[in-house]
Amino acid sequence: MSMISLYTAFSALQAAQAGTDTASNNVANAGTAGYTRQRVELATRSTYQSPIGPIGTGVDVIDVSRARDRFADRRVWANSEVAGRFSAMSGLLGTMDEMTMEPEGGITGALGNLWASFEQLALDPPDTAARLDTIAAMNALTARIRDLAGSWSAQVDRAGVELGDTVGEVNTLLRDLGPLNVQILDTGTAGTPNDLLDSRDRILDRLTELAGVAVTDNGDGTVRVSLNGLALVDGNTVHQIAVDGSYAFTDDSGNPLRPGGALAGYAEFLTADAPALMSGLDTFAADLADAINAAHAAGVTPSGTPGGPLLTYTPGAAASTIAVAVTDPSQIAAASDPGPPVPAFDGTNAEAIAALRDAAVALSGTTTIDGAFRQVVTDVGSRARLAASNAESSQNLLRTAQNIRESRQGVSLDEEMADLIRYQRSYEAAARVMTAVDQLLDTLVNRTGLVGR
Amino acid sequence: MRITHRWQFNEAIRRMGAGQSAMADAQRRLATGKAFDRPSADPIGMSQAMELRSALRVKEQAATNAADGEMWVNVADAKLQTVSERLQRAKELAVTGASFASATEQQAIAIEVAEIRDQLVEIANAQHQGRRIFGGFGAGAPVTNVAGTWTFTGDTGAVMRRIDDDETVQVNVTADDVFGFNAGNDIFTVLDDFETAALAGDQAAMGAAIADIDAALERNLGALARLGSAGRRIDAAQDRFLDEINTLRSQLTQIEDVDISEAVMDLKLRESAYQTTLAVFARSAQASLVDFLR
Repeated sequence: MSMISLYTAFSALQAAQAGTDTASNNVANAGTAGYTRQRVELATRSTYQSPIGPIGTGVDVIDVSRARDRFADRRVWANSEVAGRFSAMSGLLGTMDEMTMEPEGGITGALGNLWASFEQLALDPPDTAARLDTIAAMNALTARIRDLAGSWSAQVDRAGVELGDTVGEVNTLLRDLGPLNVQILDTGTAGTPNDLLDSRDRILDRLTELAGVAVTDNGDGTVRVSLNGLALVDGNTVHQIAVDGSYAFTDDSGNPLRPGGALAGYAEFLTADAPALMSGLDTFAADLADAINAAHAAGVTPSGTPGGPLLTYTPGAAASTIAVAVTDPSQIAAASDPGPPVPAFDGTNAEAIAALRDAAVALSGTTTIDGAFRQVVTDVGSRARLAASNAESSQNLLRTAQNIRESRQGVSLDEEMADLIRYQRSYEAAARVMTAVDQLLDTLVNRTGLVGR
Repeated sequence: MRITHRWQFNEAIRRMGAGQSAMADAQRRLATGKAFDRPSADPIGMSQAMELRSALRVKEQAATNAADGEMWVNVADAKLQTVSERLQRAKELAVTGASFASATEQQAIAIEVAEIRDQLVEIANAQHQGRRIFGGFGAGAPVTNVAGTWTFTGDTGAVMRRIDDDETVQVNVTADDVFGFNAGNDIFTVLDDFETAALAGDQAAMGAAIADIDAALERNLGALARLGSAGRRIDAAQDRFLDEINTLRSQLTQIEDVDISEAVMDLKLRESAYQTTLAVFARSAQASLVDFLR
């Protein structure tokens, strides 16, 4: 009987040690990202049927489990998919609106200077300085337009590179996930593989943020990761995803995929936002060049030849190719009267070109050239604003979800301290029990048969 | 809710970051004086600001145009005042010549008339800043004596100046108009005939010049009136410019610029909010059960 008590106390010592070890591991990993706090699961040992009734035989450490809540995980994943998408878009659009350099130092100012320079030319048409100034104003404007188009297309290139890198990262994560599934399945029988589960959850967090994958538990410890119902990882079967030049995604069997998360953000930027903005800028540049060239062709140069094109561009890429076609100041057709001879001080056509400022010649005759550019700026501003506010609100939702999850799985140092005290006391008490049993045995062994001595 | 240490630190770091970025934003607005620095901060405000800046530029150029127009009007006006005065003198001479003048006086009249004619030709062909005042858009002399016939050789272009958003005004008169070429009765031929009549002592012919000189005076007055009205319109526009430009600037300021006192208050508010965040975290982060265990 007493021998059982010794073992009972010994099991208590073991349990207290396991508890202390676990608490100390929790404290050590309080700052580790993705660490789930662990708990010692205890259960009473089977009872011993003594002649006088059942007597307990101690405690067993049956498992060290993770305080993980799948529901909290799913909430985080759902939110991180949205946050990943909007953060990607906001990151790209947020710098595109800055590149316009409005309201100071942008195209608006250069455009205003161009109109003013044509009017200034009309004041004194034969003045070479005024003519050169007009050419300089055109050069400044076209350079600003090309700069903006260049910065925007560099941003598009950057988005393409980031999309490629992200696809690469997703594929790496998918390749890591398969073997982890196998390891978890293999060790599952020998206790809970807590560290492997934490690693897998870290990968799942990242995968939902980048690609918005769906996660299903298979019931045997492995997970199935899928997109649009098509499995990417199932057990140890791993598929890869690919993206083509038109930003369409496929899996390795060629099935079309519609990922969410950051991939969706990059793809949406590349297929919707960027083309719309670039085409707005191209239309503005083409309208500007067409209107000025048409007005210029109506006039004559000092030598009496009709005005040639002042601005040139390549159709389809107007903003990035717009350039000034003339360098010779005498090629500017400021006069309207064809002569001969052309009246030297006739600046009527220069006035007509300057008057384009107020003419509805842009966007199929619906607005002015300035108005068309303002629409481009408003468009990029609104898109960037929407993306930023979406990113912020989705980040807030994500943070709330993460906080809820953190409150379930995170390590509270105060709690661990309290647990440590509990295990310490329990260890002390068990040790006291052993001492008591030892004294009982001592009494029995050394004191029996000494009655009356 | 179960509060973990990581949660506590993450939230504190996030709050400190939010406080810092709010403060940086308030500081930027104070330092630049601008309410927004990029289109996405206020797309509508940015569009309005761009429109106002364009309008301001247009207005500024209109002011330059008006100043230029005013100069041409004034130069032409001064010249035509002289023309008026010389024609009056020619008329006096014609009146004298037609009534009682000795042969010597008639010779003197002939000499003076020739001088007046030459002066008028000079005025008609006058240049200012390399440009013919009465020659329209043309660079050549508007009045030339071609084989004994006075001919208008200039240009009839109307020199227009935009003096407001959509108000243009003609700032020139042409020799064609002023000196009667298009009426078929140019003053130079009239004075030539007058001179010939004076030399010949033909009183009737000298009397006939009076009506022609009167017609020239009428035309000159008409031209002066046109220039005067152009000048008054330019003056009126120039009076408006200051107000209009100020209005545009104040509109732009309302949209673009920050209210400094409000921005300072805002910065102070954000500063104290940030300091409170720091103070609260410094206190709450220190509390730990570890400190109370022996």
